Amino acid sequence: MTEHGTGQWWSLLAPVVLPIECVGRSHTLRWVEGRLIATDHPDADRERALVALGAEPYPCLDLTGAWDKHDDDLAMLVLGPRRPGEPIADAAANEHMGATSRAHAGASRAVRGGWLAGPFSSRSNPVRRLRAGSSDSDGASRLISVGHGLIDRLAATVIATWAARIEHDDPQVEAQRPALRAALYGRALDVVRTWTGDPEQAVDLVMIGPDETPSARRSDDGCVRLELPFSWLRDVWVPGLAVSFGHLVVSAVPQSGGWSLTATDHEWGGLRPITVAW
Amino acid sequence: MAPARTEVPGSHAAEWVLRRYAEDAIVSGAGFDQLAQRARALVFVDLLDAGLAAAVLDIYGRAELLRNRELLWQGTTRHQPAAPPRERRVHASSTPVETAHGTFTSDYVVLTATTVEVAGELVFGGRSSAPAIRHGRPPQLSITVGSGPAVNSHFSGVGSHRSWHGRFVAQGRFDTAATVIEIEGQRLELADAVTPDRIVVADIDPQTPLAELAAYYVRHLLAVSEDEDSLNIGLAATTLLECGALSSDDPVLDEVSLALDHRAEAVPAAVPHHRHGRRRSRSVVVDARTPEFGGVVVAVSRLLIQPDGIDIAVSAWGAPGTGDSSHSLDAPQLSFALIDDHGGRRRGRLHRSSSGDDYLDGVVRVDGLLPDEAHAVQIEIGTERGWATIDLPLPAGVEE
Repeated sequence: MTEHGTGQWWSLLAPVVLPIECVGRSHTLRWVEGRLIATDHPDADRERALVALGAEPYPCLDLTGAWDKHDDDLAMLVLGPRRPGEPIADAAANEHMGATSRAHAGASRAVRGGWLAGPFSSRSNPVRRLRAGSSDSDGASRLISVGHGLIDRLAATVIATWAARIEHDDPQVEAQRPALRAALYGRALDVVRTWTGDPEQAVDLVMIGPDETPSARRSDDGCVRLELPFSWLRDVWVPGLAVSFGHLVVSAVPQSGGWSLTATDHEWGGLRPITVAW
Repeated sequence: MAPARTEVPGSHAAEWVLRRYAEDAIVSGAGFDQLAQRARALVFVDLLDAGLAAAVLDIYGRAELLRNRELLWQGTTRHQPAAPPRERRVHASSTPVETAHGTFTSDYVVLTATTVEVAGELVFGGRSSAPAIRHGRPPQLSITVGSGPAVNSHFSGVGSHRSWHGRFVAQGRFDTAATVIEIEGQRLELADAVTPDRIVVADIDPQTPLAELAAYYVRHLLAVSEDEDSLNIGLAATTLLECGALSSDDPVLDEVSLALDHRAEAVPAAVPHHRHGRRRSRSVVVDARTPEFGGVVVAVSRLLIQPDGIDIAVSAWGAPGTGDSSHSLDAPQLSFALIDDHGGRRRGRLHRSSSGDDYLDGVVRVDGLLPDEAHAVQIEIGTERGWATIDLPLPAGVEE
């Protein structure tokens, strides 16, 4: 498990209990505190060693292994939901069951020789950078296809991991800025379009640093202009606070017994605080 | 002091733009058919690494697949690129040959060390020939090249119930220096074809400034795109504009705007008419092949000069995708233009007759009448990475 950001972000999400048939028995996987745990395999390391020596694979351990490979994989934010609960698991199951990923084949075609050979071969391998930790497509499909909200939890985990890396000035961040910004943009775009009720609402997004002040306004041309840190995903989007009380929320800070939100209404009269108590 | 805004640095701007369009497509469910065209533009001007572009398209293609929507690409398998034949000769030949299917009149013969191709027209004589083709049994002819063995050739082409235009093609080992062939045992003398006065090729200078490169790319798309592909020009132009490769006052954007407006209300170009009365077609068999330019090699086999236009028979070999340029990232697209020696310049439109992943055969249609006084033409061929010109003298040719 990789490092996480400020606070216990996972406390905002309900645990997931996933029944799974494993070597002829009914087992359970649990997502809890940001980790996927094979509760029926207390000695997982020994069992993995046995599998490596030729023993029958354990589906539980296959899944936890895939989770460990992808829990900081930004590709999961491309494949994963743009809104919590987005129904993508059925299609993933089809892919996992053997439907060929034709898009994969297309990319293979695109990176082979000829016209592309020059620029691709003349530089450091950017595909390796992009796909760092994401080459196990089968494992990723399995995680998506099991359903039960696991892909939502995986996306949340990846988000929390990278939010923390940004906050800690991790050198890995620089190369991934376009992917991080795109992950933020796609989800903010979906939130804004849902909130405004306009499926074609234009959104301009600047990804600001973690210490900067977020903003949201509507410009004269009708474009919604957002300045948000990547941690908006972790602090606002993951817990489902992006639209609260009819407002568009740009920040959420947990307080004792509630939340302190900063949000704008449809009048775009400026950001104002909203206190949520329970 | 407030910390500086954390904006995506310039070196990442192109990747961000591509990803942003991909996110737009995912969120709106619009599909990805425009994404590859944007990626091609960014890769062409070297704002985006080709491998990275492919990887971005790959992962977003999978995201689209997971959402069970339209797929980004058709899959394909890796293969060895087809190389242009080392030696290829084109001959004129117009003697009619009687076959079991009817009368076959050849237009020209193309000989390589491994293929013989006889192009022409088959006029059906027997009552059962045309139905045989319709039922999937195209005719075969026996061809002998020089003193070699007879080989069976297979027909491919188009036509009606009365006649078919196309080619008989056979594989084998052939003498490219042969001056005679036999079709169904009937002898055909091979005459020399017209050879070009000059062929000039050039590749784009890799040091070309970004703005010039971007403008060249957009102009190339303007030259290549058919009416239905006009959207591609707009996609490329806006993407390059957004990444700063083009400035908003670049003259090429005016050209794009004019071209798109013109295409919206396209009318046939005015045709200079220098001759009254009925005019027949004229066939000029050509033996011209370019050196490699822009990743392709192009051969011209014939100009068929007709009252309403000129058909140029072409073949091309090159980088993967030469023959299949629809939406793939790596498909060079060919543009053609014909310039006569009176200064008339007309755009040609390629119609593929057959193609593989990295070769194509087809006809370039150039609308309009060639002036009678024209004694030479220049064929201009462009790709994303280079261009070629072929200067051809125009002898009388064969009237048809």
